[in-house]
Amino acid sequence: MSDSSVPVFELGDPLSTLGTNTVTGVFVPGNKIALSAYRHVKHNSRDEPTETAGEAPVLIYMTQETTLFDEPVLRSILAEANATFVTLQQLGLEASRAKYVNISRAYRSIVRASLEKLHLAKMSPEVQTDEKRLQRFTDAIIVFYAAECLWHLFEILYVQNNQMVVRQLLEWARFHSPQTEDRATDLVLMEEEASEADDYWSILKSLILLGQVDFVRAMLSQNRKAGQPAFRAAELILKSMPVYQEGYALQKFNSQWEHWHVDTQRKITANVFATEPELEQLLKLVAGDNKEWDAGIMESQDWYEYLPGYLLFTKPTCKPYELRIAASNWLNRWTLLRPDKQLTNMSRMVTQLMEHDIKLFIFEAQKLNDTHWFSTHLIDLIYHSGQLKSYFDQHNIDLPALRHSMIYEYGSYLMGSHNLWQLGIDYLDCCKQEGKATIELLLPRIPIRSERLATKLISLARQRGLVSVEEEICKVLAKRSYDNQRYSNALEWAIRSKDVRLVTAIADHILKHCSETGKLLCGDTLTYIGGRMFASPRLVFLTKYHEFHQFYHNRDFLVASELLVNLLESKITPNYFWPSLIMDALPLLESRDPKIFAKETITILHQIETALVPIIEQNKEKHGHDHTAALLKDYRAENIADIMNFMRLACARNLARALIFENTVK
Amino acid sequence: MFDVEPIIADHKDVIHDVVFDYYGRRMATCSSDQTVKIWDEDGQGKWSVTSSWKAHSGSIWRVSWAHPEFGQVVATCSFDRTASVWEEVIGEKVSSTNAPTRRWVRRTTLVDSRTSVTDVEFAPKYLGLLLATASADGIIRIYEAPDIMNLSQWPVQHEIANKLPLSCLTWNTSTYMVTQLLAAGSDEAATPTGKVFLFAYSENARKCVKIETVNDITDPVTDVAFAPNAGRTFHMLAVASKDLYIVNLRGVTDATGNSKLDIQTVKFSEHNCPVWRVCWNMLATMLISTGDDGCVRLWRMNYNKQWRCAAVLKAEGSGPTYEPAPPTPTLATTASATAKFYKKGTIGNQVPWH
Repeated sequence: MSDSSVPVFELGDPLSTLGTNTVTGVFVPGNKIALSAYRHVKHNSRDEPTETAGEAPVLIYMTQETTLFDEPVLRSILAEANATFVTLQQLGLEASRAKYVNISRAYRSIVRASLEKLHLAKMSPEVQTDEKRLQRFTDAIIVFYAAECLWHLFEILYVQNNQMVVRQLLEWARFHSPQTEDRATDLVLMEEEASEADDYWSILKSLILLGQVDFVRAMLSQNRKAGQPAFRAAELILKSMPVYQEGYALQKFNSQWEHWHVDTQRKITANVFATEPELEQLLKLVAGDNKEWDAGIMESQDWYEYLPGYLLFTKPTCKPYELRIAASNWLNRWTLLRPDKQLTNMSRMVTQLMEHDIKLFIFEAQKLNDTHWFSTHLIDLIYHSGQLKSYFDQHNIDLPALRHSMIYEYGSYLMGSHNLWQLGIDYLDCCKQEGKATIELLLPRIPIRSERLATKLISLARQRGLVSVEEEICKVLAKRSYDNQRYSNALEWAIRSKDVRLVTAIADHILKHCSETGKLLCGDTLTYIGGRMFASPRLVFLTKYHEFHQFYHNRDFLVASELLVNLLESKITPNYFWPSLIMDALPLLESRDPKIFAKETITILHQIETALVPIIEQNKEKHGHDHTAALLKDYRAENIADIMNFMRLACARNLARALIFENTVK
Repeated sequence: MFDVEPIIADHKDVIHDVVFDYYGRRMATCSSDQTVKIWDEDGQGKWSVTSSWKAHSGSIWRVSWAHPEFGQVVATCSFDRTASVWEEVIGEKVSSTNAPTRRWVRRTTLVDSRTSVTDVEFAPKYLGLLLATASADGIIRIYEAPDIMNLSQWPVQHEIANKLPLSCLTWNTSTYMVTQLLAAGSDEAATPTGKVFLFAYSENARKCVKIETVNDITDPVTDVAFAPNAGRTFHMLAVASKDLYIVNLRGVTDATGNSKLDIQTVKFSEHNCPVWRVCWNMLATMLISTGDDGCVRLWRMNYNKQWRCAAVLKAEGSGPTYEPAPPTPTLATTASATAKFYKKGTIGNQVPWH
């Protein structure tokens, strides 16, 4: 690609052009770019204010490619198309043609419904007064009108698989030039009065050009002069015009039609209509008179507008492959007569469809300002219906790869946008490994605004087996709850994240808080924790300690004592918690009627000497005598030496009591 | 066409780094005015400063966000030879109606470097809470916070000395093939040797070591960035130097059964001037390069997996007077056209310097 074809966008930022400054940019998650003035500084240059400092304000520019989909009305197009897309994927590659036609119609009806909504919304006062939104609505109407029109034509030519196309093309042209028909309806309602309307004959002419024979007959029959011979002859011609129906023998139809055509021309040359020049003009069009049709071309809005009508009166059995020639002839004729008119993008795309240049059509379709909505869904439909398979093979285009890359791009665009991400995930699901890897990257980056959203994200991750995403979201929420001092919540999320380190860290915090204040946090969570406590050995300890607290408070001292002895023996006591555990044991040991048996008392003493004493010694070595108190402490006693003394004494006294008690025969 | 929303940064000198958090809802900026600012985006997409403080006693080069599973944490590095770690804490609730106050607290200052700390970056989360710094004396230091609930301790885990001064570093976020892969660049101009170095954890040496030098790039390097990986089987490294480079790293196994990295360098000369900075988008389908010519270039990978310049964003000095460009409903991102930025809002008064 040569440099000249790269589009250049200009940013008006004074600071970026001062001195040796330039401009820099970074991507922002959510399909944005942040731009700002930049000045490169080397590590060995002097650190001083830039010479341009203060000469212009420092600004950051949040830049986003213009998108139509900021409007909620338009977002519904994305959402509904997403549902149809999913249906098509379920349909697969082997469904009947009728099914694909239905899908195609479903897409089009989404656009039509949205166009109606767009027109209504555009008229609302809040849009009318907002220049930017008004522009956006106007753009959207242009884009989606084009999309519907082209899709409709595509459907006729490449999805429906029609043997003959004139009837369908007439309907297409009729839908896309509604003004004539609207006016004609008004005139029909006026009955006889209509004959006097200024535009009576011009509307009739347009109707003929559009091939709306039935309307023409209705209007003519209401004319004041309807009873006169010229009008009756005209009615007879129009009424007897052979119309091809499915299942007719083509040969027979052709000879019928030829007969009718010759008859019409004969009547015109016989001056049957000479008394009514306007009527005669109409019938000359019906007979395919070139001069009259050239006059029609001069009044057409676009080259293809009257092509279906022309075909109706000159080649009613036109087949799709014959359309190519007819279309290019008609276009040549139009360009010759209207050299002033430039072809719009849309009329070029109509040509490409009619001339079977699908490759160029798809290329042009990607330039519509619809973030590839149209081209992506259309390619997907082409891929599934299989209709154009031989065309793509001939042109050496890898259709599955093209479809894959377009769906991937469209899906990742949606998923990368903060308000559209939910729609993108279905598209990425169709992109195999690459899609899955992308979901894995993007899903955890959706801002978690609420726990409800988190639950939704987690279930989306689970459906796709993305364990790491689920764990990541849980960890983020655990840390967030922890920072907000919602410890129960933090603990719940940490357990779900299966991160032992995180669970341990939170359990540590709860235990330390307890030894500092005597208050045990997260009581409810710990009561109902059940088997989840095995997420971390520290949590097991915390849960058991909480149980001990419960028994103690309920004055169930024997069970509490048993549990405490178990804890002392368990070897899972964190070093910093020893003093608290011992302080908890003291009242039980000092109880008048022994709560702890002799054997257990000996166990406790043993544990103190084999487990705790080495910890105290280590601490002394590491931090010296002064720090010992700070690291091993409880809110009830500051000094570990005191605690040890109390403990040894209490154990001795309890041992004495227990021995007497146990060896006394009752 | 682009929509542009200008934000008055209120920094008193040029911004050296603009970095977004994991979700793109918070922004950190740092400047030669020695301050760091934290910005938050509200529900309507408006950005406002929620914190601003003097963080260093020299220009602040870079700022880096930690992954949100470690909380709200940023690191900064400065000309003042230090790097710092900052954490947002929630103050006591003043009243039940007001939201609790938030403020940023310095958790640690890393003072190991004897020269300017030129880059700082948190490691990918699978490694834990790790932080790498590069400094002008050529040393990379990797610090680790062993207790994620208490960020005051940051012992040095690895220290790798290089002969050349370092200007930038980047972590590889993908675990494909190599773990703990790190790249650094040097902006030294005197020697004609390779300026991009790759480091990885060596099981044998039980430490981080230099594994490769990219010899194709001998001009001073000012920025390096590993691309995020959405299922690729190779690594991509963008390098800002005299030109823009994309370095592809593939794992290969040689005859002796040792696996090593195969390095392939692609050069893009479109800037025609030094390139200062590079930045990937989230999926590594696009790349931004900053040139010295007042232009930012946007690169896109086409369906043939080739990188092509897709757009140029050019700075114009004439100020915020542009009219909206005429509507171009059929303009695609790659269409050939010159359009002007459409400006919303106005620009505030000039701010006096220091």
